[in-house]
Amino acid sequence: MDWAGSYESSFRVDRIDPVTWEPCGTVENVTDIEVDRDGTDDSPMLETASMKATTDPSEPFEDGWLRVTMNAIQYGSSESVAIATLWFSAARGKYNRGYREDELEGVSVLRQASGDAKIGDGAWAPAGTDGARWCADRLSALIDAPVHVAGNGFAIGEPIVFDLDSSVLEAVWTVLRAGGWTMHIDGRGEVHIHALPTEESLVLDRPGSCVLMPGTDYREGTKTYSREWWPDVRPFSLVRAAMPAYGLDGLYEVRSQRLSCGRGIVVEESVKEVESA
Amino acid sequence: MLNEVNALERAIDRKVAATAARRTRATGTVSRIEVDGTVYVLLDGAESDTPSSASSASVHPGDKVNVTVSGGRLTIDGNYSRPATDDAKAVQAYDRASNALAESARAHEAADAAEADAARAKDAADSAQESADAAQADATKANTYSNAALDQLGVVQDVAGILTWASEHGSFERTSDTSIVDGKVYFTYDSQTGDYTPVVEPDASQLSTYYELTVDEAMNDFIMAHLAVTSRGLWVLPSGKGTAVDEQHAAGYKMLLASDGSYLYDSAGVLVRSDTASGTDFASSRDWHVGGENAYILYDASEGTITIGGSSVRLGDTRKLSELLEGSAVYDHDWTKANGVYTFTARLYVGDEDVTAKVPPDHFAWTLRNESGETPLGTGRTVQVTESQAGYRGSVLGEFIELVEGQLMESGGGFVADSAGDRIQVHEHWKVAV
Repeated sequence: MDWAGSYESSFRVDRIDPVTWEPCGTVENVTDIEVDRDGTDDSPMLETASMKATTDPSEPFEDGWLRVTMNAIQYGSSESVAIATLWFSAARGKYNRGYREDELEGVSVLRQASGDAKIGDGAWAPAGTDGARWCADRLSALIDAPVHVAGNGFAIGEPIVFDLDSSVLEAVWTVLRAGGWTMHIDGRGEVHIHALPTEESLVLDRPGSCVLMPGTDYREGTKTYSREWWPDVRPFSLVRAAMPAYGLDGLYEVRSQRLSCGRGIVVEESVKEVESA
Repeated sequence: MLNEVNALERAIDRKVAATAARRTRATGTVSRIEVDGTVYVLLDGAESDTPSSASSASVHPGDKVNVTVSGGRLTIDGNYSRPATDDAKAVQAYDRASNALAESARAHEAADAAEADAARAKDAADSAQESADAAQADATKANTYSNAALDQLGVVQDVAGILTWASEHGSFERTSDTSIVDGKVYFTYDSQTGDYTPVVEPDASQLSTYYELTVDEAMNDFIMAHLAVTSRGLWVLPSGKGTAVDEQHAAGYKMLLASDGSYLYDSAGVLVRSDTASGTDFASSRDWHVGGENAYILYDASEGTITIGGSSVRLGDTRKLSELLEGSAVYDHDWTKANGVYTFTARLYVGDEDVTAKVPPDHFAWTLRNESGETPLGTGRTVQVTESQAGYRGSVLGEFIELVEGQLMESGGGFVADSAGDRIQVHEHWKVAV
């Protein structure tokens, strides 16, 4: 699939079995799907999402894991790409012409390791242990989603005592940051623990290539622009830009993204410069 | 590729940013001291002990200690069991510090409670906002309904033939009525828009501000322009010729409402349509048609042709016109009797032409049916059956084996399927030439 070319897209929302982590049903009549990915420090859960579902009033929406999949068709061949998997519940709803329209809000797979899931006062990670494996074990014990470690992991240099009242997720982030590692959630909702990327995942160098849409917005320390979908670009990914006319020239780290699913996916992306041109 | 210096800065950047304000102080008991000097403390309420970094206090296993947890480290701040001095003030100070710590914890709890209250207040405010939104929606709906009700009123008046026409043709004058006249429509006048609006429920106290509509003159003009009464009946002339008389030569179409029905004439005075028991006459000067898509007769005045068409046109009861038009064969047979022998003769027609002789004789099959059952009599254009052979209540059935065209035949003959999937027997491939 040439993601820089034009393609037809449609979206499907599947209900996900918490044990097998595979589809076990479909949710019909879903619109306005938006996924927010945030790699900044005040967003430890990395993802939120929202969508609208129209249902029969006698069968209200049942909270659960939902997976959004984009089916793209190009030159007669098609490809399905999982976009996001989150726990959705109805935040509010209204009745319209005999149907019920629920506004669904999605929380990240990491939610199960935060909040009341405390690591315990005095808990610590010993020096010399594999920090990546330590994190994966703590998360796997709590969350439904599969957790993977990429690469050989890293050794914890000094024992790390976690702040009082920390959640397991906060403890995991403390260990990852100490090792210069991070994690991301893929479209299937699976958690991947890995070193911070050092290779760019996307090169923005042609305004007409439909990868980048015109219009760049500057906010405090970050730059924001819109582009079309590109696989495997998410918070912590590196983006190489050579478009000085748009104020983008150098190597940038993705901080946050908003994915709006409609005709394809429009990605509004905030990046921070890590290396100037 | 990210260079190493930038990568390091990136990692440090995250580490610094991760530090957040939270509870940092706690109490516990020294559980063990390792040979390398590392002191382990079991925090109150914890399940396992925690290593501390360098301590500013002298400690022994079992000592109660105050600790600080921050920046990934646990530091012992003071030894409660073994104060550094015996000075009573120091003990008091320690107690005060402990009390302050407890106070701080209570304050923390109070703050949490206040935060929860604030959240509840926000929920209540959100709920009030939703109620207000709902009320707004209800008000909008009520307004829509009242507008719809007014529209309904307008429709009723239109049906009565009063309001719309009259308001376009009449003139408004301030009413001179001194009391409300039942059934009369009053209007209010908006000097800004120039609109006259009917009053749904007239109010006697407002009567002096009401207007009424005078239509006499307008009605007279309308009657002069569009209506005429003659010996045949009432003429309606939409295009407007007030002098219309009984001749059918006025410009434009006109309708006659007569005692025996209604008639519509075109501008040439030709009857286009009538609603009477006697039906409609044709006019050779005008196109004419009857029927619908499946069966129709069409007269084209410019060509002078009549077309009969449609997939459902039938001749008599059974024969489809389309079968004749497509040249398909119609099969029939007749018989004669001489000297106790019946002779049956097959007849095959395409259109009006008898094409029996052009079809190979083995396409006509015969069967005798009587009380003994069915007996094949072979094929041929004719067949003979004796009286005794026919038996009691015997009859002869003739069958034309259908022509098959455009079918792929298996070599050496055999069975193939037709388009409907039915198996059909293929004979010699032939076509009737007409």
